[in-house]
Amino acid sequence: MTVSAIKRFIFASALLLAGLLPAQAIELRVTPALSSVTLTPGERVIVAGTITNLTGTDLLTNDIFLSFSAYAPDYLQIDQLLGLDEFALPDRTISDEIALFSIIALGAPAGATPLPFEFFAIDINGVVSTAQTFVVVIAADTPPADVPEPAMALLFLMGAGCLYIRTRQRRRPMPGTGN
Amino acid sequence: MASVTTPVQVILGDLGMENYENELRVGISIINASTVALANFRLTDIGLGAAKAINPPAGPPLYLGTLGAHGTALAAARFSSAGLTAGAKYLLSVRAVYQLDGVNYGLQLNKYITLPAPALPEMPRLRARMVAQTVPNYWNYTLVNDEAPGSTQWLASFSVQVAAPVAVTGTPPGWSVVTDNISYVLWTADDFVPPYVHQVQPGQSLGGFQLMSASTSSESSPATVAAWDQTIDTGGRTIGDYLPTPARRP
Repeated sequence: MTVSAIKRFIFASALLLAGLLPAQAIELRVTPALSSVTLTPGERVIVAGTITNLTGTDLLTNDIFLSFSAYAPDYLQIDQLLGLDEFALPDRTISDEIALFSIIALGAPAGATPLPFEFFAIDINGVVSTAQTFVVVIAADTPPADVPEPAMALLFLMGAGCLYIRTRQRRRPMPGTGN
Repeated sequence: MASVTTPVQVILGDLGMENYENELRVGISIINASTVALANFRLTDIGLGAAKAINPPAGPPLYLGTLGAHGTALAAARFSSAGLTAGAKYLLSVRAVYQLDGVNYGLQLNKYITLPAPALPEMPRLRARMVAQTVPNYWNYTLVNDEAPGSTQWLASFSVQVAAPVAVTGTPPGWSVVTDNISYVLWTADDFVPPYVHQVQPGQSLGGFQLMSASTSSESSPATVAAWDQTIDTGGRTIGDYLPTPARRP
């Protein structure tokens, strides 16, 4: 077999292997650090996570748009934070943990009912991530433990002071008693 | 109570934008890529970064009907572009509410847009405004012609869509009204020959358009003002916006 024939054989084998190998999957992956959170009414939480860019294209953070659905609009407000700070997400990389979105608890439903919602991401080229479910539980405000008010504490201290003085006066020897 | 029942995949489609005279107009398409129809689909808020929203009015929801499976809904919004930088990116956020099996669910869609450089609009615009003022059970409207002095565009008709039973309780002198009291109201100046004394000339305003309804809350509805071109004596430019109107029954 000549050298050129060997080269042709290697080239043909490479082509055959390239055809047999699976194509690289195009994927945009959003991985939040949390999948559920418990809030009190008025509380806001920032949900952070990572972005895995396997889309075949270099992206910026503001090339990715989040969509939220199926949430209770009377109790939750959700806002995208991803992309407010622009930086690069090169192809075939995983970002550091970055802010994805925020959730504000507008009010509390009766009981600590779980409030799930769905979200997914889509990039400027139309690559869509898998939809995920996030669960929010809004706990009713717990009343603070009974703490004496400052005025009550002052009265208590004054009373204790009076008792101390009276006790000292009783122990003082009366003049002329010899005690 | 809300719970995730059926996967809903709704996205913002291509956006049309015009940046002209310190105002950004955005044409918004909302695409339902899922296989379920979203009933009573209404927009509750449209925001663009820190830009001041001009229209739709803040508060009243804008009903877009049922967003069918694989269907598209369209809306428009205006923002002040003062303080924004051409070429910079801003986050457009659209909040909506829809119904599935009679339960209300929230929807929040996002898209970063790049502010285009100021440019002349594709079609010459009518410089006019519709100003609304509401008191319980009454909706009052005023037309303002902001055209330059000497403009040939005089305001000659004003129409508004409604979605609740209404009575027309105000029509300016020299104007007449046509309505079915449930879906539309159309006011027109009565002038059929020059000099069109009842039309609203540049720099002038005209109030006295009033609706009454048993409803006490508002929703946003499309409204249109059309001008009459005095030079060629025919219909002139138009402008559309959203106005608060009596809210439909829930």
